[in-house]
Amino acid sequence: MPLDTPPDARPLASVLPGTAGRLDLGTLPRTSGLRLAQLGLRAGAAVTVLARTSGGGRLVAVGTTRIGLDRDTSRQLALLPAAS
Amino acid sequence: MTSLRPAPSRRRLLPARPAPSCHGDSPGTAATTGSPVVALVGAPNAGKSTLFNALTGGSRTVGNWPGTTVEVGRGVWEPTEDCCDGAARDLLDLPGAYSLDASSPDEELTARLFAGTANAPVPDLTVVVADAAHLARSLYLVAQLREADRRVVVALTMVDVAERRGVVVDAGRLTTALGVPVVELDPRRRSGRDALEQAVTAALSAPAAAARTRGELVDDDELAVADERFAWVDGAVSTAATEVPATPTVTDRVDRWVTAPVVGPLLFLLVMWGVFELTTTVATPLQDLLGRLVSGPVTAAGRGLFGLVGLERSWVAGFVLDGLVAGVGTLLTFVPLMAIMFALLALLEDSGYMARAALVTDRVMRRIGLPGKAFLPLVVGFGCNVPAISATRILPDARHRVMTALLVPFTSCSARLTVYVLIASTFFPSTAGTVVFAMYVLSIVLVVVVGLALRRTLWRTVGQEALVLDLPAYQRPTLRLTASVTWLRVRGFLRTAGGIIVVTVMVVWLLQAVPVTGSGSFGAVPPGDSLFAAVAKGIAVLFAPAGFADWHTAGALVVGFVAKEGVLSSWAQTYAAADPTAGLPPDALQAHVHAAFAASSGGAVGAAVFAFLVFLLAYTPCMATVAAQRREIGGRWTAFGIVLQLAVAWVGAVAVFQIVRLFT
Repeated sequence: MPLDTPPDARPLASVLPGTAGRLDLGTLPRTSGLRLAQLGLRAGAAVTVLARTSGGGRLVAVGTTRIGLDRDTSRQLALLPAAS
Repeated sequence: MTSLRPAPSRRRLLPARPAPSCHGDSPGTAATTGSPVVALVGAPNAGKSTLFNALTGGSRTVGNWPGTTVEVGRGVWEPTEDCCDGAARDLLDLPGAYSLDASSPDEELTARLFAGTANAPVPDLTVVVADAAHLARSLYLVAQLREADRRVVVALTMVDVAERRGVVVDAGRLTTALGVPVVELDPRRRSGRDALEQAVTAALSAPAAAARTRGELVDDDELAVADERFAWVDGAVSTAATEVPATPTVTDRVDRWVTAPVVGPLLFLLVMWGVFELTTTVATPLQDLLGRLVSGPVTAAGRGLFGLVGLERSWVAGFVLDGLVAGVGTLLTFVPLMAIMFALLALLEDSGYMARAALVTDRVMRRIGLPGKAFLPLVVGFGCNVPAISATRILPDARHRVMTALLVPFTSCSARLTVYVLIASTFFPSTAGTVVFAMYVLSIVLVVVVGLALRRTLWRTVGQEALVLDLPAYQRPTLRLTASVTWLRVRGFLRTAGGIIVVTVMVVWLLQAVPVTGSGSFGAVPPGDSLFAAVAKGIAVLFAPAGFADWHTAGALVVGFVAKEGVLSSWAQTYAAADPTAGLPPDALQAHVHAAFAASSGGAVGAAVFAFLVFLLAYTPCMATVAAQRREIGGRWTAFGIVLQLAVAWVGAVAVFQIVRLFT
């Protein structure tokens, strides 16, 4: 995790299914963040991890949207506790 | 092999006539000159192509997965009788895009059109197809389009899906918030068309809406500009939509298993096995029935007609009965088989399962240096390789596109299925479905092995690309849509049979009519003495190490280079001409094929059959695929691909024959 990532952030790839929280863009490059944002995955968005996928990635819910992420992207993104 | 074709920048936007495809989209037509141009845009999978088909009566490929449309569709939108000014519109169906900031060639088509850099006029009006279930991300495009003076109408789709998920959108409030008309409609069930026509007519007769004003921003700060747009969209959504907190849906519960690490891939294989098992089980009796009809009453009637005019033994009768009836007729007996498989695949596509399959296969794709998204064009290849080659445009990286386009021919298209079924029912009648399924598994293995080889030789430094896949909600497939997609693909198969294959049959017949050895004359030559046989015998030598050095088989494979359906028509022709009782009932054709393999394999029939199937799977699918490759990745890569396919096919076939015969 980089220095500006909150200490209570956990890589999305290590979060168990069923966990909810707020998205942190973690180490993801800013340009990649824009593409995620267009799909609804913006920094601070409320997300729920729904499942671990066969490639080690994560299936997440953002509102009514369901997005599949590969393992590397899931490792770069982070999840903050919902209350923080 | 150093230059990659600069894919998007020089590609013509309109008119785009695609390479001929087994079941591809028609290139479309335009309204009369001067008609207003209306463009359909929107995020992938919002329902643009379904709406386009509903408005134009067109037959664009549709599916419940992102990336179904990669080319611009064009059609004439005729207003209904009791609506509007009666003037037709020129309707464009653009590839899905979340924004006008393109990241792949298919998205670039849309971006260039609105930037005015395409060789086509900027549309007079834009219909943004917005998915009510994912409203915020659907409206980002509206935010961008409204930054200039443009006529924009928002078509709100998936309202029923949104409501089931607890999202209610007030179209009136959204109209006020966005400053453009918003119309609810359901293109899958063809409702809301009149309201859209009226809104479009009103907007076309009014001045373009003034551009929305943005706050003070530095335009080159891309993220700051994007944040302003997101804020504008958030404002509109919060005004017009109410949403209950997300709770796990049926889709979520299903997805937990469908995308799971072990269950997901197994389920994928099970689903595909079910498709082919069901296809072969249900279709076989129908196919036999049609085969007997063609070889019995149809041939007898033809023979009778020629007898009436005294031409029963003429070359004309030979051409019609041994050529067209035997060749094309045999192919037509596969229509039920194709229809059943196309219907099952259409059900899977419409249900939303295919996008999950891409997620499940991501790990394998990465191993060969491709992003999981590359699975989507590859899976299209299992239907037809031609649109699959075009679908590589959804990949942002040029090297990924070239590599995927080189791998697509190894996906087993439906044309090859006809030959598998004939071979499997001839040599493995009790396990035909499983053998056919095994060919599809082998096809996947070939894609992986060749992909690995390419990565370790040509593309050692190819970068990885993130997989961020928007998964559509599962939906109950509609009969109309399934029937429409099935018919579109069956029609493509029939067109191939009626076009390319008829021409191929004529050429084969002509070559068979020319004597090279013996004492025959034109049109009355034993098949083995013909020019066709002479050429095929020369080529057959190459297949001796693979166990199928028979001239009928070699000739059929050469004809199959044009189109794989030609393998069957060629076999049927050459054996029918040799059989004085022609036409050829299905079991007789099978008996001839069986005898040929028995003779050429030195007793190792099974090994030769497997080797033949491997060759058939791996070598160049058809000329249309070659043309599509040339268009997408250029001539040199296409030539490389042909050599690669032939090399893999021959080496694979020889290896299989030499190894398997040791155990039989």
